[in-house]
Amino acid sequence: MKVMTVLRIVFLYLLAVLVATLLGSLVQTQFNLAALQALDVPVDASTRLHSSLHDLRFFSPFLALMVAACLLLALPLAEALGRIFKPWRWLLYFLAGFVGIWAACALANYLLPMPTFIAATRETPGLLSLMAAVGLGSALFGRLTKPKARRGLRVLG
Amino acid sequence: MNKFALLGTSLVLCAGAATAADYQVETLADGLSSPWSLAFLPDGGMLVTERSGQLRLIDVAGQLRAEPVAGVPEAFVNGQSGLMEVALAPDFAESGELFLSYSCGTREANHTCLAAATFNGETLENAHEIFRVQPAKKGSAHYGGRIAFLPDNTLLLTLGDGFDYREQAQNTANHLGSIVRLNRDGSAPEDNPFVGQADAMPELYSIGHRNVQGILVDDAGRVFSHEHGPRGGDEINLIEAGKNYGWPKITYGIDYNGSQISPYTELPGLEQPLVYWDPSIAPSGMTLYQGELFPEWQGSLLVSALAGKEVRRVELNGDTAGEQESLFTELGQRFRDVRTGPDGAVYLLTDSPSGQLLRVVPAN
Repeated sequence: MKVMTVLRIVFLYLLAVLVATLLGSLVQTQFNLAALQALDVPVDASTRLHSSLHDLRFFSPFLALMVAACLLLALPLAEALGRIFKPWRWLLYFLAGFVGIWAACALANYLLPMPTFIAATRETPGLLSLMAAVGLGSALFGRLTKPKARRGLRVLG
Repeated sequence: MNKFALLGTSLVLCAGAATAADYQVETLADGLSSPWSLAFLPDGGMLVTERSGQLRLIDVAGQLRAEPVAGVPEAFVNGQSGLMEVALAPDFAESGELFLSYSCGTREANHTCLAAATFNGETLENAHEIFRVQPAKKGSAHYGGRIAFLPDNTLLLTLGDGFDYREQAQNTANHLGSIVRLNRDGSAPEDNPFVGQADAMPELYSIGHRNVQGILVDDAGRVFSHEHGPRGGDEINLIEAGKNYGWPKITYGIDYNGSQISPYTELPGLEQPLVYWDPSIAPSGMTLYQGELFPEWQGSLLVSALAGKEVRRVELNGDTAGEQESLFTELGQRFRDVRTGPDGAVYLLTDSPSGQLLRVVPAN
């Protein structure tokens, strides 16, 4: 494999981690603010913006580590399965991140002292939203690494 | 193996320039299984709880009895759960009555529970549950568990939010994240602040707490408590009936993963702490020092700390907190509890699977 090809994959992997982390951090913030609003805590647009920026600054580094670890394992698996089940490539890549972050959260909750490491995942809607955020990141990687379709006369297959 | 200090165990002399008092530390007992709480018996003995579920007796001769005290209710032991506080009734000398807090249930459904029993000098008799937190929660974190008695002979039991249920600390329809006030039979006093409010639990005394593991009532009847906050949000509060202490609507801390818990540190109708600690020290027990052995510490709160590996002395100036001082840091121990003994010495329990009971006296 050429050096440029490897560098491109590494760049796209980091891009996928970045996108998944940013989306995941926003999910955490919005679910937390929603829980506070349910307690009649006032949350205006400025507060929402500041809270989102706070979490992007202080929470996203932790989430990025979890996302990076899970995608490192999940993306090669999605690629392998994608070569077998070509029509479902995009779905397989989405599921790789979707299930991968669930496994990472479960492992963190098992290993760390606190029952739930990421508060948004205490309830099913928050957990599914975080899983979807990371699924989108991994689906983006699958989309950007998709082999170009060959043009011309197809003799076989 | 357990030893008594005067029989030749370790003696640590501490005369650090950073402390206002010179003291020495004696080891009264070791090999305790995660000791949690200490009570002084009228005859000079002591009772010590072990989180793993045993109540241990140190007799008047200072000897730790090999066999645990029989008759203790079975506790659910896991994570932070287990047997917690032992508290003697104010009339213990006549009644022999004591109270035990502990976690009960299973990993999937458990509670903070409170039992009353009679201690006959050797065993517990008639131990029976008088209160359990409702509803059941999953997981084994944030139980609270400290007990204090008010001048009117009712008792306060501190509770936790169960960690994953933090918003419930604002819900008066359950006990999570509150301090409850009970009669000695476990019933709710009729003059409790939430009695008569629709859907509110009648036992509630104050709400909006995270995990309260220190409480005391001073001679003036003031109630001081401290609670574990998240990262950077440990607090000391002056508790008043019916007040809301804010968790998780307001907090000075953030979540362990760095995420924000609340954008606010103050909101109308929510009480402010006397003290908050950032970084956290993980306060685990508290005494108001009123002994005569350490005049420099008179009237100060002594707060044992787990993560801080210290006892934090907090001076009180009326209803406000003053200067602070870190004590016993040279021991390098996580401290689970701190008490003032009848002799004026400071007693410490270290937090360890092989914990110690320490006694601090003046160096001279």
